[in-house]
Amino acid sequence: MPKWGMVIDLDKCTGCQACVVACKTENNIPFSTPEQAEMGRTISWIEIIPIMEGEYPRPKLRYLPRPCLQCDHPPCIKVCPVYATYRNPEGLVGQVYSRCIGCRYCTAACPYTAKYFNWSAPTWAKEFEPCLNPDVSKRPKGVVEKCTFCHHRLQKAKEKVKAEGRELKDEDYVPACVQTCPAGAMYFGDLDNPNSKVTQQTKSPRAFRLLEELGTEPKVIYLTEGEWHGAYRK
Amino acid sequence: MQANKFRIIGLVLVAGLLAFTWLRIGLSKSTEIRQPIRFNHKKHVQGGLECSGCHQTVKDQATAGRPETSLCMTCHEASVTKNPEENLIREYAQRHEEIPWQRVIKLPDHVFFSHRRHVSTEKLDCTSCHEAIGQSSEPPSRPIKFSMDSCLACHQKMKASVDCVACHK
Amino acid sequence: MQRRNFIKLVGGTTAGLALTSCATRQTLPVKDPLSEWRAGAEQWIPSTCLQCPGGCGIQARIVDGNVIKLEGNPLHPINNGRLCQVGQAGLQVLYHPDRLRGPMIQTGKKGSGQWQRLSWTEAIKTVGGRLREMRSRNASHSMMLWDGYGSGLMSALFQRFAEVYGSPNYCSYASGDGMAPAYYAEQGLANPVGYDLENANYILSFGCDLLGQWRSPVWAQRVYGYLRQERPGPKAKLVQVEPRLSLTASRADEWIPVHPGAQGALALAIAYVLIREDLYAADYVSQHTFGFDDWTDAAGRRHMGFKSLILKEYRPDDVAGITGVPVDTIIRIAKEFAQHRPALAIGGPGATMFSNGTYTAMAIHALNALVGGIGAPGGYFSQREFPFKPFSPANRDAIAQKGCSMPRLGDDESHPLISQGRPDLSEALLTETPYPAEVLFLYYANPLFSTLQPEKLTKAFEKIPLVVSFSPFMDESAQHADIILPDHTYLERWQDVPAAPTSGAIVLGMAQPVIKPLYDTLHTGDALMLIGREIGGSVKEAFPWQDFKSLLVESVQGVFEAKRGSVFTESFEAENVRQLAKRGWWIPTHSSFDDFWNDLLKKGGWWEPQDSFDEWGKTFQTPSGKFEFYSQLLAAKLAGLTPTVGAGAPGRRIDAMKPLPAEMGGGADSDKMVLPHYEAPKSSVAKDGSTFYLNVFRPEVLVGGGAAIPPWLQEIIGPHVFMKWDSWVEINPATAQKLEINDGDWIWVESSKGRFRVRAKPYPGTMPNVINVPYGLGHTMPGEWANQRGVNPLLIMEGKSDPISGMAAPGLTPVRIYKA
Repeated sequence: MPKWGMVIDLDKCTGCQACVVACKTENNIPFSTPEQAEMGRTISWIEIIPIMEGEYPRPKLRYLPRPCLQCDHPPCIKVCPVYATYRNPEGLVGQVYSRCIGCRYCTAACPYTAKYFNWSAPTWAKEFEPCLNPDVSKRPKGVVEKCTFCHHRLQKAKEKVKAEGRELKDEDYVPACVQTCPAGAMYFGDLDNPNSKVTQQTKSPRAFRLLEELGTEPKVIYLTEGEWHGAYRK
Repeated sequence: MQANKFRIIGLVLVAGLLAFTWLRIGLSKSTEIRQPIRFNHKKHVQGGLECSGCHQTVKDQATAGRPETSLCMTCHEASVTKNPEENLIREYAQRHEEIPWQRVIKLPDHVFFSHRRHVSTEKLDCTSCHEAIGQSSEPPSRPIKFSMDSCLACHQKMKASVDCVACHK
Repeated sequence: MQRRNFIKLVGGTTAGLALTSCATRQTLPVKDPLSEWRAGAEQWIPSTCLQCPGGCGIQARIVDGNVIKLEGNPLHPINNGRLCQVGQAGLQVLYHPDRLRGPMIQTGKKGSGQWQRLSWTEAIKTVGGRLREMRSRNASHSMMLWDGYGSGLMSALFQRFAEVYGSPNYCSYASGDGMAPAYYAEQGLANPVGYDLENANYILSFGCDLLGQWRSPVWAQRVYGYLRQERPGPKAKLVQVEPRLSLTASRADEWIPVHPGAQGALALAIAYVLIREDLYAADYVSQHTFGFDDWTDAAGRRHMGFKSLILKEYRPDDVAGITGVPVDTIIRIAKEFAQHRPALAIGGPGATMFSNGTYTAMAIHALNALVGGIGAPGGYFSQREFPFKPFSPANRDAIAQKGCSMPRLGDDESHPLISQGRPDLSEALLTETPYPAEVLFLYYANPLFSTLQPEKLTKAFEKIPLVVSFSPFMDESAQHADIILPDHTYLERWQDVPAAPTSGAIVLGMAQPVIKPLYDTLHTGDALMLIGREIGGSVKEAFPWQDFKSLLVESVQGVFEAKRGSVFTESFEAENVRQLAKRGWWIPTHSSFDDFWNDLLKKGGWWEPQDSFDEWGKTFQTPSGKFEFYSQLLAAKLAGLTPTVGAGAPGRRIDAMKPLPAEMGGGADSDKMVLPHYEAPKSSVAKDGSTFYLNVFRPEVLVGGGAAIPPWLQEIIGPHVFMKWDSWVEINPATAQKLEINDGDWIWVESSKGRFRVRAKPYPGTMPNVINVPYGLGHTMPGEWANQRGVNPLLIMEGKSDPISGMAAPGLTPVRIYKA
């Protein structure tokens, strides 16, 4: 069984946020109002986190795109009282909206703040409704949601390769963010396949994982020449 | 005193009955399905049509597909039967309108189901889920509901995936 | 927006329960799945993005007739399957609730908002009738076409309309980087040039937000990714020179903060080091440039060369004070630039939006000549033309000929390079010089938002009897129009999309409708033809096409018949085409035009690679046939002559130089006027306590600058300062501390012209004497998401302009800030 993972090269990322918008259009993510945004209720399954270091005239501004890191030991699933969030056999952390009771334990447990609570029912202008993606549900008020690695694309890819009678290849299944990344800073594929592009990239001395010390074993691996590198050895 | 008591009980009963009827009518109105044409599945199947003859995307897309008016017209351009309903097809075609077929199968928004997956790759027969629709001569007047149990029963039997996110989107 | 009726949606009996929603925004109705039938048929249709001039190829995912998603077209040579944030948000333009539903006429006075719908027939009749009447009294010249798109066949169509109707007033306001005057003055080119970024080893960018919004951001970012981690060999260094730490600056190897308007001086100091230390490409300079050394003209007059001027005036020690860049940094950058060839110097609006813009651009471009980068790998390409089939010649009647011979509106002789600039016409329209405008057409132009003088332009609009806007949205200018003829959005229309010049290749994307028009809108090309037919006579005859699509098909025939380039192909085939082109070969791929056309639509477009560099005749179309430090074209223009570009045979000089008028710097120093040099940017006298310069920048999510800002972009507008949905002002953290301004405080920014209130954001990427405010927000137009969100900083900026190009120069406005 493949183990899906993502590699994000921070040395190539320009912080343009194309991934953010691609994700929102793909996954029917409602936009916030200014008032909701002020309260920190904007939902963004992948978020660009700015990291400002140093002072004028030598400031260093970096961006860190943060999807759900799809941990192998996800802290969020351990606190879910209703099995609404769980780790599936392919290593993806699933989120089942119809089970979720909205207790928000998981949003608190996630050290990467990758989980979002729907404080209100999703709002769209009537005119926007036709462009909602039929492959992804509209989440109701009161449930927690997060990045799924565009899991619906995996379902479709599996279906396609099965119909064509062949094995699933890395390029068959690509999340929306990876597909659109202008700088080509994101890679996606099977971490268990020694020949895949992602596995090759994780061997780089630039590779590291976010908050490695927590033991969450994320499947999103970052690359950088900055001082964070070197934390990931596999 | 006594008379008053009966009167009150009577009133409550009448009000309750009224409310019940009103609710019944209301509810049935909201769930009843009236197809624009009283389509007869049985006739078409007996005539030798495959399901995929009309539901044309059943083998290669998620949804089975609704026949477009033009497709109906390939056979019904001229009268095939004496049924007055048949004229309706030609009326729609003349107005260049699609026939507003109503959906009878209701899946919740959080469920992903692909016909292609079940029909093309797993070679399931349509009747495995749609049972007797092919033998019905009247369109169903109420939505047909599926329960997760029936999905799971089959998935377990066939050793298909029972992972939540395999079906929940 | 109106409150929706829920009763229908949730069924009569439960209506009472559902009516608990907010007033301005509706809860997404829980749709009865029974009423919602998605046939589910899914397809992908290729087209081209028109959100910015980049011209990326897209594919639209269509499910049951609705556009669900936009992705990049993997075959497109510009974006290679990638797409930026603005391209991704295109769905929210197509489905925007504020789109105009059909043609409208203002029944009250301009700007009163009393609109009435009318039919297309009536609308065309009204506009055409007025234009016909103007021709009958020989007033055709007073029609003005304001084209904010400025490329491809739509612009050609507008120009034809102006020609056959009889007006000299076609103005192209396509967005540019302010470098055009330099390309013209120094290389004699009327079109922008391409840059060979992929092969450069050192990129020195002066105020050019390369990755954020320059020409094609997706292409630039792809190249950036390639240069960073994929290209074998040493990494290219990117150095960004500008007052603000922009997206590009933050991703560069080095950010060099420089005083606003002083980039030209820095470039000249770098030239000083190159010349002084003999680091420049001496062979190239002697073979391919003119005016480097002092020279004597045919009349025996001595002229100053670039070298003398530089050595005399731009010692790094002197320039350090002007620019705020330390001497050792200047010297180090200069040496790196010279020693890491191929090196590229690129200019952008951050450097050229000042009153000294032309000379700044010339100074920056001169660095490329010094390192021998123009016409060489890792440097600059001259761009080829698209082989469109030209329109059949039009028969122009006497009225048209007379009208076209009139002077252009606002074209006074004070700006010698006005054709390379984009002058602010507010003054000319208001003062009616040399004559009043009677009809004004606005195509993807919203000057009432982008001008530095909105009050003047608003008054000018009031004087124009008929203002027609083609905008699909009720933007500020459309509000002050008399008639709106809304265009389709780009996902609903046919259009050729020549991509902005990037790496030399010419790329023609095809935009085709991926969905039927949602509303009663009309392709502006079709509208223009209908108006032409309504006018009648020779104007009618000039538009023989049935509609814009047939014009497009006819023009593209030229591309097929040119036997050049190729329809987009898989990358390995593309390499093949490239290799063949290098050897001057071309292999036919399509048997007939129909075959070619269908393939073109299926693949998304056509392109022609460019690999040859040393076509000097094309690269330098100057009188000397060389790169001119001493710009003879500018000299001739200054002297009131009209040289034709490319007319001069190599080696021929324009000797008819007259002494320049004193106010243009004439007299003994007149040579300097045509050499790259530094002039202090014009600025008004600072009011008491005005200790900051206001620097405006466009956030990268607003690239392209369409009137409708999709909410998806509004909520990610300033990620580096955590801003969403609103404007902000960036202040140097130390300065903020001194002024006791905290993160998020409301402060006033005040100039001599006015003030606005914004939230303060201490940002280390700000110079101590500068404050940065984003441009693009602060619209005043109906609709929920753009109206009154944020501020428009242009409203308080000085209305200055570059005297050479006439270009509006918002660059330098002194302001003071205080807590609100």
